[in-house]
Amino acid sequence: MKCQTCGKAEATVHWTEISDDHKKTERHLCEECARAQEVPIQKAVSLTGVLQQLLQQKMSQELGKNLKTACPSCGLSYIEFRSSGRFGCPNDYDVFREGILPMLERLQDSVRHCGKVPSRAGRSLQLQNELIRLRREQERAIQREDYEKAAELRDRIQRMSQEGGDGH
Amino acid sequence: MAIDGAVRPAGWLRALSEDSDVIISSRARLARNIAGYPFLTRASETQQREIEDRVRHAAQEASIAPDFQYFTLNGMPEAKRQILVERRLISQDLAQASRPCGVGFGLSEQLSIMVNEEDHVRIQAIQAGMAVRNAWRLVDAADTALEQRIAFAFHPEFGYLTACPTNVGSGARVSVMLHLPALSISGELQKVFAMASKIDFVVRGLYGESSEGLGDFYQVSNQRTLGRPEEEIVSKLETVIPQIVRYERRVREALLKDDRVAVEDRVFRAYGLLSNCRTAGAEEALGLLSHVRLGVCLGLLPQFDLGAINSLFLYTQPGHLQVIAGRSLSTAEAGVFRADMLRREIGRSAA
Repeated sequence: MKCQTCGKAEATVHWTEISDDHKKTERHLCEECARAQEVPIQKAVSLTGVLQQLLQQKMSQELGKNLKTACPSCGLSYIEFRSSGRFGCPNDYDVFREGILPMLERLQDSVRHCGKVPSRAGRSLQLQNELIRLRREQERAIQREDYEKAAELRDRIQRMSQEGGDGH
Repeated sequence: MAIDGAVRPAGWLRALSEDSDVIISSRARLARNIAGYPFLTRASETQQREIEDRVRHAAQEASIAPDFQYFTLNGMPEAKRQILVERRLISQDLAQASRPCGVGFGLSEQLSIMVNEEDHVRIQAIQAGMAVRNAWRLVDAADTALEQRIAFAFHPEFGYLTACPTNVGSGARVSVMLHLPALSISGELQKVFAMASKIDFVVRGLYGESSEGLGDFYQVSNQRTLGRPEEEIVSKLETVIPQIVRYERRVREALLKDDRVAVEDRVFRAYGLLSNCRTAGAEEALGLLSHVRLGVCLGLLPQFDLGAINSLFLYTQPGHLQVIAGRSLSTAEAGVFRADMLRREIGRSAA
């Protein structure tokens, strides 16, 4: 549909005016003409945005409690986790524990694993989480071109991996 | 090899048993992540590549399947990736991913490992017919073999840790794919959905969510992964699936008894269209083949073999079609080529 004013550009602003005697007039303008006529333009409403807002209102209490929480290993914040629904690393399960227990209860109707367990003895969770943190630090060092630091971190990661942090 | 070589039927589409009239295939998959690494969304490209290398090496060393081969998906032509999706070796999401990722599987394609899908590792097994227990054993054994070489993220309380909280715990999703045309025609499917959800199972379409109803194929899978031992999920499926199978059969018989003309009309119209069409879309073909398949199961089209009809469900998909054609096809060309194939395969068996 072309703009009703200039007749050239595609009409992207649409609204219906209702006069005092309840008469309805549909108007279709391009963004430029609408702006010239000082029509207040409302940005398209994003569904995810609205849902996120609703969710955030509902979660405000829970969020308030966990707002400042971020994972020391992967850097994911609690809000980021809640808006994407995805964890950043295994350590998040412990860092956000308080927030996720009710969520697991709702999603899974359980909060405790029963079933297969790795055949090898459990490895130190602490060591694994530290490895994730060091790997993040290494990435950052590479990004800021601090290759000396990156090499130092690489060696540390290698040593720790051999101690059994991630399966070697 | 599935990607380049001559097109052959997928093992899981074979019609082997007396239950093949309703049950297509069984599948089990496990979600795993390597300990000491962030999950994919927080992993850098370098880390994603490292993860891919480690899983590939571990899988090759453990030789988890006979003639195991690994394929990196980056740079693989779209048509080939599409074939992997159609053969259910990778997910649609993985086919479209631009990060370092890949898939490995053996010659029989029963066991496959997706690398860097939503989790670092997704081990899956697919078999024809009612074989959930066997499929579970296959993924369990592959997981144990991998675990000798890679430590997976495991929490004493929450079990195997996954990127999404809906997979945490066992990381196991076990499912059976069913062909339910009669329940669909009669509008009884909602009852099946309700029955499944009562025992924590969920019913989805052919390719998971958003493909509901395609070809009247439905997958029944466990909804929950935490606090349910894997064996329990398998046993529950072994109980609930035969009930759905009996239900579908009862409705098929009832349709035939109460309104034979309507059923015959539906089956023979589909048969007529497939025997005479000059162009056909992929979804249209799925729908028509579904009705022909129903006709074969009801004995209305005795000249057809169920396994051959099953294979057509696969061969008429866009990826397979292009391999059979030996060139890339536009949507219009694919429609004509598909119709030619259907006329040849369905029409030549004209009674």
